[in-house]
Amino acid sequence: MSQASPLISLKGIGKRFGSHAALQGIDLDVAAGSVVVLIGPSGSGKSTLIRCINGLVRPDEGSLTVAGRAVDIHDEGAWQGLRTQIGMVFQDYALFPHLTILRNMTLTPQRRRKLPRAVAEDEARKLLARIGLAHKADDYPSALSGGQQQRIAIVRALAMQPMAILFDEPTSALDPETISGVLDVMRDLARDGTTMVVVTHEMGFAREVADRVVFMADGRIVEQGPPAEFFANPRHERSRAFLSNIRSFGEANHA
Amino acid sequence: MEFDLAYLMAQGPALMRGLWLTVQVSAISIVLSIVIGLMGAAVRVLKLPVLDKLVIGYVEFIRNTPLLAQLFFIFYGLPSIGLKLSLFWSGVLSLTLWAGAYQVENIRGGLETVAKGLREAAFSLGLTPWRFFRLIAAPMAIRVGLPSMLNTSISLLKNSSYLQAIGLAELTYVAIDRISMDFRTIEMFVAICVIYLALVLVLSVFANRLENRLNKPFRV
Ligand SMILES: Nc1ncnc2c1ncn2[C@@H]1O[C@H](COP(=O)(O)OP(=O)(O)OP(=O)(O)O)[C@@H](O)[C@H]1O
Ligand SMILES: [Mg+2]
Repeated sequence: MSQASPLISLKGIGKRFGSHAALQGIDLDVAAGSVVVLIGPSGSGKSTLIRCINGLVRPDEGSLTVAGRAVDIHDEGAWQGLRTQIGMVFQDYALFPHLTILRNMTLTPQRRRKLPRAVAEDEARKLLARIGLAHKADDYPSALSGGQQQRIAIVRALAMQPMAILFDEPTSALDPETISGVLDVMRDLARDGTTMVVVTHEMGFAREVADRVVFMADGRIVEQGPPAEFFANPRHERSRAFLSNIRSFGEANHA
Repeated sequence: MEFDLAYLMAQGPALMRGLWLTVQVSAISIVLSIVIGLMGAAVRVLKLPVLDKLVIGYVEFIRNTPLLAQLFFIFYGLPSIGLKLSLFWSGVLSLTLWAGAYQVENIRGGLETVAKGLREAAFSLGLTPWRFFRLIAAPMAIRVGLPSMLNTSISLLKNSSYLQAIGLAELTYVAIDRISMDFRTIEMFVAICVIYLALVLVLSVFANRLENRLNKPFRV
């Protein structure tokens, strides 16, 4: 294990919604080039946690350090700067429906990376080619399947050349037959050393791609470790209950 | 009295001048009212403190008082508090404020349908709130609100005839002015009705084109 300081480091992050504590005392380090997968029951705070990493949710307390620099969690300007460096992919893809695929991908690189249009388009086309959708550049999102849209949402995030990408259940809204295409793209990114934090219910993906699995319940991190260890020997009662639930659900699905 | 076409032709130049004023006042007011609508709707949707209440008050005030009263207030009332506008700009201001209130509501509905998810996606890509509004939310809201925005714009165009009441020599003023001299009521009213109708048609055609363009991304 390298001793280099982590790319993203959360310390003592807490977040309340009214009287409900959605996150409490979260400490999480994400090493550069690693893939961290967050799992846990519904309402355990997974989405809230990854949203705290790019300020879509403002933590109430704790500290966040990205690439060695502390982020002032109360300064919107700091978050805006940070967001150009941390990409995010959502469950519902969230492509801009009134813009072509190419415009979706060049909009922010032109504005935030100050790329000339031709360069931004060139980069976008290369990224599209990489996911086999170069021929869709001039289509609108409505003409594409969910899986195609999600793959484009991923390369749209990539077009900002972020140092990390956050994924919040990227395959949960997809038809089963299009899920593997999206997971393939994510696998590809992981192989290239992209730093990723992924909330997912795809345990196969977690097992295979994650460097570390983080299990959450009730707004806390209950346990974390390498996937081989976590899946074979969950130490905590909550983790065991969660995994056995998923397994019986999976078996029921295959029955 | 039979319909006197020759008379009407002779009035052509005067009517044209009136028409030109009507077009100018209406076009400027339509554009400005949409600007007010976008800003007011943004304030409402973002629930900006204080401003939010002001916009609500403005919309209610305009919608619940007669346009003619608003017009007189601007033309006769504002000078008494030291704000003297020309006839033309008094007309533009009153039509703009009047239609702006309706445009706020027309656009607000569309803005609310721009999913929260798109806002988060835009922010995650590093877009500022202002750029999100300009590049994503406003175009999408205009698409949804376009039919009602067109209705308001048509009403504005027709209501520009109220401006004859303050003496602006727009189309209706010209007609009434001639009638009071020549008593050719039928000719004049047929003429201006046809002209207003034509203007409304032009506006509708323009809006339809725009709608087609904005809807293109959503046709599969
Ligand atoms: N904007 C909000 N306002 C109020 N409560 C919220 C808000 N967002 C999340 N919560 C609450 O915080 C808790 C954690 O929610 P979160 O969405 O992070 O869970 P999750 O682990 O992502 O769940 P799921 O698997 O269902 O997506 C839940 O109890 C949720 O109801
Ligand atoms: Mg969630």
